[in-house]
Amino acid sequence: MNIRQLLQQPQIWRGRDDSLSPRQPRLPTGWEPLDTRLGGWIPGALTEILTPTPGCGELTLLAPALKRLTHDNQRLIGIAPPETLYPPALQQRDIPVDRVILIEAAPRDALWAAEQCLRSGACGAVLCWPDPVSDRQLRRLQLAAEQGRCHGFVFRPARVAQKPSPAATRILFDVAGQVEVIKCRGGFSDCRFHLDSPAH
Amino acid sequence: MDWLCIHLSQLAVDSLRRNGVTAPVLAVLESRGAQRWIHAASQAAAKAGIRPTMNLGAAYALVPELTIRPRDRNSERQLLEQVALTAYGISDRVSIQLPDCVALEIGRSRRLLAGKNIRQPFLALGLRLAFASAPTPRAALLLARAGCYRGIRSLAELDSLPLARTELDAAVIETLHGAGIRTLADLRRLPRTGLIRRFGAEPLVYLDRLLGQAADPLTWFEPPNTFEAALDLPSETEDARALVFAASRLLEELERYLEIRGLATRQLDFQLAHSNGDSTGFTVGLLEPGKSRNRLLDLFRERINHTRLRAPVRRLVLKVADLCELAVRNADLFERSSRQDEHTWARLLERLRSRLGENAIHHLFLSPDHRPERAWHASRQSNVSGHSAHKVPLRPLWLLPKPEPLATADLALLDGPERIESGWWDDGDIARDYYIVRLGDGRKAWVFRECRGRRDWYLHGLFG
Repeated sequence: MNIRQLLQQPQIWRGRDDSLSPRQPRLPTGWEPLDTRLGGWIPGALTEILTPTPGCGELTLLAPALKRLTHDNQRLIGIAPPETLYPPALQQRDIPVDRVILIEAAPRDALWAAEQCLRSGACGAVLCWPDPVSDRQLRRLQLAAEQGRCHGFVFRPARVAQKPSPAATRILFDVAGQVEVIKCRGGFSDCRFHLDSPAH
Repeated sequence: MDWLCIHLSQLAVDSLRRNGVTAPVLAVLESRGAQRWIHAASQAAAKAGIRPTMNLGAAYALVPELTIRPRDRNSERQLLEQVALTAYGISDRVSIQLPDCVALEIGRSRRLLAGKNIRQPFLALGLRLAFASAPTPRAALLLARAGCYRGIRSLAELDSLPLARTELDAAVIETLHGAGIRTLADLRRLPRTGLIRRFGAEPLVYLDRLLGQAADPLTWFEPPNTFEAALDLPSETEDARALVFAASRLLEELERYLEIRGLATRQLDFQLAHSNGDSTGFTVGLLEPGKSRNRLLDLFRERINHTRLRAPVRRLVLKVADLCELAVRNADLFERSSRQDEHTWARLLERLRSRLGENAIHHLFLSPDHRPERAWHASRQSNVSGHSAHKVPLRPLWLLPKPEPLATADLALLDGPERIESGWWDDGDIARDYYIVRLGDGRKAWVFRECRGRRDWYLHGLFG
């Protein structure tokens, strides 16, 4: 067994996965602490965003990246958001609303729709709020995102932070907008900052 | 060298072998009415002296342990089609009209095929084949049958060919021999009118076709639009490993078929025929179209390990009717090609609409209205004309569908007020003072206070 085969063993954790980063240009998050630590959102992967309650700053966090995607002529899909994603506010964040499509779906169909959109290769980012969602379902979404080379953003309640997840990146919010990276593939996860802090 | 002919020299025997007849000393029996004679013999039988056209009694007298099976024209045809399918990967003009042989046109692709070993894919089939090439298909057939592993460029090289090697009628050949005419050259020297008078038109038509002097219309082989293959197991078995092995043979065939057609599949139907007459069937589905044998075999293995077999299996049948284009994603040289993108998007929309309903997909538009609830609308269509946004103070990313009454106690004011007073001309008259506040739990929110009536506080949006 040579080193290459050895490294392919799933039991081996690699701190910085160099096989990933050079080939896939990442999407800058627009937040300086995140960009230095994560290098950006990973395309073709799930990013999990955990909030104690909707509206803690999760959309503000994504806004710069979504703006970049839409300006790159990519589509944003929102699947069954818990409240209205307010179009005038999107426009104010320089996210053109004609690139945003909302899909209404019952919880079971929402997962299916998310998978279809992620897999299709026609969407730049898919935002979904599946609850509850099983590990297996998340894995399916992760595979679909890989296949469609799409950014998958999954919003889940903060109480599942302790459970393992197949997502490549996991971000935990507290109510006041404090952001903590609790998992990231190919980077270090000791990153914590506040959305409102004046550093950016 | 325009035609390549592949002669299946042991077609009758090979087709029986394919069906699980393993006896080494084997003869194939042909019958017409009460007449029965040996049609072909396996190598071991031929060594023992069994010859085609021998009658049954003579054959048994010569080799008492001879195994005799009737000729199976169906599986012979299947074998021919299998070879023809492989040939279809090289040329689109393939014919199986000539006896025991697959003829394919290679003249047009000479430069493409130069230096390539075109025998290789055929040898992988595990059949006894003889190859030869010539300017006409019938000439190539004669050479291949004669076991001549080479090609001729000019038909003049056929001049010395004995008439006995040709496909002329045996009676005609005998008469010609009687007249001292033994080779093709001898025959060509004879006056045509005399030949027609003596033997009818048939020998001349054959001769003209052989030598390329008359058109030789062959019907072209068309690859079937569904794939079906069966394998009889050498012995009845319930062992999953044996079944996986058998399936791997079938899937290898399938892979070759899909490779040649440039297609892939999403669904495989397996039938396991039991010895007691009934059968177990199952379908293996794929999310993404595929064709690779290993991938399909993995799926089959998973499936068979979880299938309870009621009886030993005798025969395995694989049917594939759902053929589709292999999803190939081309890398774009400069940027995402927008046409392809539109195409995949349209297909996605179709799928979503078919399951979620026509009204589940919303495109967003801005409306020229100051009232927050009416500053936008959603539509099924994407081509409705929208308005550009007018300059307003910062709006929240989340809007509650209906404002929620709010206890005022726990608010920290960040910005405001912004008065929105509008809509007296329709039923949605509002007069509100909007503030940006921090809620007790720390979230940034958009709240308003009624300017009229009870002057209550409401939560209308979140900046999150």
